[in-house]
Amino acid sequence: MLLQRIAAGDSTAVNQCLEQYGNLIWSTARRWSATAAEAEDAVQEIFIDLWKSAGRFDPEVASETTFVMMVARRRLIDRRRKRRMEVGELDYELSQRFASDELCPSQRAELCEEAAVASELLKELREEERRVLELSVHEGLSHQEIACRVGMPLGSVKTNIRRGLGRLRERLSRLSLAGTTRDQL
Amino acid sequence: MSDASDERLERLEMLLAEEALGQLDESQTAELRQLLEEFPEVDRDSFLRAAAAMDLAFSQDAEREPGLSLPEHLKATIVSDANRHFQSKALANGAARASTNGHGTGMDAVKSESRSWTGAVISNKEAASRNGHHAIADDGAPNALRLNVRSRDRNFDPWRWAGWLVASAAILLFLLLQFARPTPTGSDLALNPIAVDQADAGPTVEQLRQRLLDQVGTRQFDWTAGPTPLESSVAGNVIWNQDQQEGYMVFDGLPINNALLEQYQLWIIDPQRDKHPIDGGVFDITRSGKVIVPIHAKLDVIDPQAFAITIEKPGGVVVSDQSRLPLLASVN
Repeated sequence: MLLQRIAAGDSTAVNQCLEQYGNLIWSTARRWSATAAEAEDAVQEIFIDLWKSAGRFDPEVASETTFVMMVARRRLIDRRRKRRMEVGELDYELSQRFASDELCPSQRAELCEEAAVASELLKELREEERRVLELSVHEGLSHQEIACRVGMPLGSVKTNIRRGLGRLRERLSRLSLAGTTRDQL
Repeated sequence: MSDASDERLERLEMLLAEEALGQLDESQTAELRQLLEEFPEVDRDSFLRAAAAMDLAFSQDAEREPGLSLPEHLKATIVSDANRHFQSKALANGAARASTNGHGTGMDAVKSESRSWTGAVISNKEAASRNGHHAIADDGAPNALRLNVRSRDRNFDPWRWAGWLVASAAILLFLLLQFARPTPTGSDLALNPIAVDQADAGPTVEQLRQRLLDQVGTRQFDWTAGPTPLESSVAGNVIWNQDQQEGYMVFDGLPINNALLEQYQLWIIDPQRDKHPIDGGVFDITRSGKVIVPIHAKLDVIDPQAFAITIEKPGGVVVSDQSRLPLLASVN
């Protein structure tokens, strides 16, 4: 696995890491950033976090792709919190696309196990529940912004999101437990 | 579990979900930190993992428009950052390897490493001037005052001291072995004096520390007297964030040192990383009262068990003899 090679000091794994996760991290950072420049700073920081935390990746706990996304989200959340502290709540439209953005062909890479479980859960939800989760988890909107966008009471937005995330958390923990049990047999 | 405990656990899980979505405010962040300490068995990354998995599922939606491509110029920057990371890691590992060699070969290894650190090795005098310490009398003779520590308590029971550490007797043994080794003389280890204050514009050290304190995952440990405490008591704490690999030390009452004679050196005890403590760098105290010092660990910290302050010769040492270890902060 790439992160284990990075942790072992194999610098040749860096380019492969970029190839494997670069577009995913860039897309995620763009969704969470107001400008392309901000997204570039975020991506740079995320990769530095990845090099530093590579040694803590445990394939027993999560897939490499999920770990990478966790590192990315953690950094993006921290950046947003610092931005709020410095300039107060910003009211800008996220998910902006600029002319300078280069597009790549849709890459439907193989879903990691956790994402597959998430995908199955999302299929079970009503459209409005799914939409609320997408706006929160994928687009990074605040609960208030989502309530305004979909015309749903704020309390309902929070309940839907927490319930959806909680259900997935439970399924992933069962997945992890099943894996542990399999290993022990 | 009682109803009240169930409610608090439920509250913890709600806050973890909000944290995974980046929706916590400052007071909720502080509340989350307290609840995590109350329920240490809870997997605090579980909601973040779920959010990451869900985000990936949305990203993989086949109906979605084509994804964005990482800009080429950014790839070059990332590769450059990675090279720097590997270089600094290799240098730090080289220093650690040098210190693990037997005493007979240790000095040769250290000298060999130091030759390859051109520009990184600085003289004692340069270290003093970098730290802004100007305790040189008019005739050029350095101030003769040294920090006084109490002699080691003859009744000092290292096993009782070990009770400060969460870990087992193995950690105590490793500490005793490590610190009991004779200190190589003339250590040429690269130095990284830590600035006590930031003079430039931008966030102050205090603000940076507060920002880190506000992040989930940041833990705080109070200083306690080490086996050779100072004559006056010192208060303060260490904060450390494992994910950020960032930390700050606060000292209140740590005596001002003469950098030409001696400097404080931080050690991070991390048995999972190495049998030897991680060098956290040397620093000076240049004023009385409360001071904040950023931590610059030479190696990535995996699972810190304790933070220790020793007093060493200018420039620090590769291996401390522990003869003056005034402060300890144990990770509970």
